[in-house]
Amino acid sequence: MKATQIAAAYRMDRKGQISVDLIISIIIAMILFVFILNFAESQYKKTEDTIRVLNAKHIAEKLAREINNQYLAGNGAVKYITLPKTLHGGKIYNIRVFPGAVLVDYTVMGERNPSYKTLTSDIYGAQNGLNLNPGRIRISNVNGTIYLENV
Amino acid sequence: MYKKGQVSNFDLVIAMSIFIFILFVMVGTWDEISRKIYHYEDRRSTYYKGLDITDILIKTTGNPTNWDRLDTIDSSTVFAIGFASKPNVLDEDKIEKFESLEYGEMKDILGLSKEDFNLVIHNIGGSDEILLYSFGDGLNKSHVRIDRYAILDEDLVRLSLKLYY
Repeated sequence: MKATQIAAAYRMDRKGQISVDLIISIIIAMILFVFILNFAESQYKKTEDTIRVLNAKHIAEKLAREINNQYLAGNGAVKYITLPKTLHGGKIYNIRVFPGAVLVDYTVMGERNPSYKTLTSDIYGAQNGLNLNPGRIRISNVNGTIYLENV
Repeated sequence: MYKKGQVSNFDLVIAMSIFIFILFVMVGTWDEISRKIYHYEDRRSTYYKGLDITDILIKTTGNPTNWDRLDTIDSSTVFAIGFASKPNVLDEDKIEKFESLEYGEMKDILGLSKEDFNLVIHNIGGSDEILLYSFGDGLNKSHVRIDRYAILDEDLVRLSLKLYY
């Protein structure tokens, strides 16, 4: 066999071959890829959850601060506010008002209820938890007592 | 020609190392940004809470109006606290009654849960500031401070509320 034929055969032998260390490198790269996918998914869920928690906190805070403002405004003060129908991502929630606190209840991987405290606990019907639906709410002050109702 | 399409393992390892390094930096940055968002949100929420508390303290009499004459002061007997006899005019009896409460009762009645507070009232009517009242301890923590001005015993006073979060 001529030298040129030997060289051509050698080159043919090398075609399509990969070394063991390359296989190991590719396996590591694939493990890394799976890890990144998992990480990205968990971070995405975490971000969604953070937005939802902040969203719920803002709703509790908005209602609580409006209760404070109507208390501060004195007898006869009335205000209408509108709370969003759902939380971020279309999640349904409920509002419960207790003497001194507003809770926003929703369920994502267990029950969640971010809350915000009010500065007056004289809220009509709140002793055992006053349930309100999201949407339009009337807040009024009658002789220092706060009345809340869906309208 | 025979090197076409081949990958050097050394290059691959270097590339993966750089990639992993960038990934870790990104994870760290991501967590730091999340932490900052929560911190900013806490600060904003605490600031508005402080504004509401000081508003109610200096502008309202409280509910009931004569809460300072009650034997028992807690969240079941006092619906809302207020230091004023009329808007921006403070009532010394109410402040002194508040002073007689335990720190936990003060927090409860001010509508504070996780936050600590330090409320001080200075007389600023003269050439020097005179400390009149101080409730709660100053802490070395992140806080917001709200200053409000009112009249007490015909003197100008500054009510400063620090909320620690």
